[in-house]
Amino acid sequence: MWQHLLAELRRGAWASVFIAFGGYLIGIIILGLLSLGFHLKNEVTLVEILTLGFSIFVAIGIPLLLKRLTSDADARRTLFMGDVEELLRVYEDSAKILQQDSSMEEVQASIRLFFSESEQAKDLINKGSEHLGRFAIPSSLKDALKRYEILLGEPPFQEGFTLTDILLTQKEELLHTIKVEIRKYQYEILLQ
Amino acid sequence: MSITASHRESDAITINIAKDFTNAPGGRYCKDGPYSGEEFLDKILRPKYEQAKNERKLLIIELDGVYGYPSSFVSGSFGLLSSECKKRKENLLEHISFVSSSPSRIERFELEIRDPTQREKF
Repeated sequence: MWQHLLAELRRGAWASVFIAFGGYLIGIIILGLLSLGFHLKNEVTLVEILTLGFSIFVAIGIPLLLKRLTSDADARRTLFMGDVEELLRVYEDSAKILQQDSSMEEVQASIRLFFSESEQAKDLINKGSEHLGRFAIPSSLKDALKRYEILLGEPPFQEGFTLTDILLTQKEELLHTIKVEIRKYQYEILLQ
Repeated sequence: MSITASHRESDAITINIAKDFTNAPGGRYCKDGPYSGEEFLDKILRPKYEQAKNERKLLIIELDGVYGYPSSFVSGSFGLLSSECKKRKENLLEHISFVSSSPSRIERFELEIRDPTQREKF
């Protein structure tokens, strides 16, 4: 039971953590309001409220949270998150291609492989999105990926190509944009 | 390099890029090296497209079996042919159809044909 929760925390599934914390907070508020309304005691200490609130959280919140974490929909969403992470990995790995001390033929072969892997990663995401009926790749992310693909698919295939600082800077900037867009996409998936 | 474009159906002409051209496409222009988009366009794509158009057949392009398509190759072949067709007010996608196990790969090629000037916007 706790392993699931710890795994979620390690994975950075903050939406689940926020739900748990939100449930705890709402429980305390309800308890506070009830104690005010019914005047069960003239004085209710903060410690008593927190203790009761925590008991309610454990009794109701944890089973609900675990039910959510082990639900089919959440399992699919977790798998889908893995696909998005894989897309990021493909682009991050590709950034190393130009920095390797390789011949032009080897660089070009690596870039061709990157294009194939990128298509496969997008296929997985599109299939997952189709299956879930939501979470299509946002147009801003598509644009960022396209810009990066143009950069990687053009200069290294040109006659007399040399690696310049400008190209490396451009590559880093575009990769940074992709990382930002993918993070936004991941948060959108988590919070829905 | 031998063109083995086969007639899969009586009303279609097929180009299998891996078999008829190369499994490792190059850059945009012939001067950039072997198996460029320009070379593919001049030697295979344009002649087969004209033939398909004249014979009122569909041109089927098989994309699988290749290590990966650099964006410059796609733009230098299909993008350029699309620009030529647009000038003649022809819709290239009405005459051409892509086959691949990867829908994203097909989308890349179709997007290039729909908007061959997209890279200028970036």
